[in-house]
Amino acid sequence: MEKYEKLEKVGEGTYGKVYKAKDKVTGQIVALKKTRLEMDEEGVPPTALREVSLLQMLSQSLYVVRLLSVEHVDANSTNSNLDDSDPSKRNHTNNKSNLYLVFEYLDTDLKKFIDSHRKGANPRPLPPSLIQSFLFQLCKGVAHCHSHGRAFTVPLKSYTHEIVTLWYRAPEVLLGSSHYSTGVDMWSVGCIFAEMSRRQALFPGDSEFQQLLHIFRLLGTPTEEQWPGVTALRDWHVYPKWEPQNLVRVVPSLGPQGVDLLSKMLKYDPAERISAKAAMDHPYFDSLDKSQF
Amino acid sequence: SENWKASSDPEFIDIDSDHKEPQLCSLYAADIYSNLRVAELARRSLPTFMETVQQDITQIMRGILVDWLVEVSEEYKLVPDTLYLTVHLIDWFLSQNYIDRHRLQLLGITCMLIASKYEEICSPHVEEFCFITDNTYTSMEVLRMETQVLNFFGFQIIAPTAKTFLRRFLRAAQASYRNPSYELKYL
Repeated sequence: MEKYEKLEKVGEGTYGKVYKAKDKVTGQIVALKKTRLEMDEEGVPPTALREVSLLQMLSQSLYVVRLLSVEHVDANSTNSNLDDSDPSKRNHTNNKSNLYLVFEYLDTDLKKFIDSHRKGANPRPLPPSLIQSFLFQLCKGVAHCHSHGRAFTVPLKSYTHEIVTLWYRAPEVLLGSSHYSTGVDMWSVGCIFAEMSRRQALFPGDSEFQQLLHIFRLLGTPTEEQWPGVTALRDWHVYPKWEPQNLVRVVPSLGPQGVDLLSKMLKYDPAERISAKAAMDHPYFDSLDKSQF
Repeated sequence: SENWKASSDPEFIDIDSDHKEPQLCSLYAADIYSNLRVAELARRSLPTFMETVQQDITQIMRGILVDWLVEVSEEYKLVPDTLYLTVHLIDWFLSQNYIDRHRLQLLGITCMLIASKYEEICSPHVEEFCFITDNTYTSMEVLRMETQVLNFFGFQIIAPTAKTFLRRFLRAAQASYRNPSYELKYL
């Protein structure tokens, strides 16, 4: 990682730090994400291994952030020439290991962009054509990920329950289904679509339970007719029976086609929810020049 | 053309028509498999690596290693995908890296460790992989090898194997069965 010169720290989280950095030879500006690995005795954690290898596979697309390179720096091997005589020191360095991910540098993100239109000196809505363009690119990226996924011929693999940021989490995940599929991402796309129009989150829950209530209050409490099998899901309880509201009330500026597409992304039954591929052919995008993408 | 005729034939069964089961990813299945076929071509090991890259190890030694890894995967009850990926990683590493015979088994268990971390819900511990070599290697050696292998691959360890395609072929072969048998693969 000596080939990069750190310019400034742009982010910090529990995972580690993100720097804006410059390639010393080419001058290319990159985002350097340094993740500390809790090495103990097991080496690279499976979570990191999966995340990085999937990202390597998917970042060929223009609509997925470009991962330029990855390097695992094992502190033990790089420092072994420093002080091999002191065993206590060796054991100490042994636990420190860093995973460096080098990404293309992007100076903003959708969250910051929406915030800049909500607060500050000049609050204003996002132009409808921009929302349309962003949503199309988002669908394109998601379709790319889904067509590079793995299809299971036998639906037997169950997954981790704790996935996706709460506000964008699909109801089947919130209700404890472990056999979720591509539909969970389309739910998230729907939430983001609404958020671009509203400039605030659609379902800002602060707990899993509150999250479900936010959803039910807007879309109505789901029923067996609407969503076969819902009452058999692990975390299903008896909820107050809310009637579905008209979506136009929460996204008044989206227009009829936009509202129709949103309603298809927010279908309760994951099997009925629109796919990213089908969404790209929805009439909402008829006025978009798709040749530019 | 012939293909087109086949698909409009009422006797032709579309194995991706089950849209009610989301985990089958029926809408994306055709794309997924066509992308897998491209990925397969991009990530093939050199067929001649034993003659061109390696000088110390032989085909026979590789064969013994693979047979032994089959036993290891049974011992630790690993899913078949792990075993196939392990062998793929070994061959791919050997296509571009010289290795001497004393480290071949180390490469084998390290690749199995990496494949397990990717495929298994609960991967065996590093110590268990050392134990199974009768402690020929220490866990420190395995971890160093892991770093070396992952850096060589640039963490691009996902690759389609014969096993990946077998699932699809089995489904196609039994398209008309109501409850396709997945036991057939053991034949």
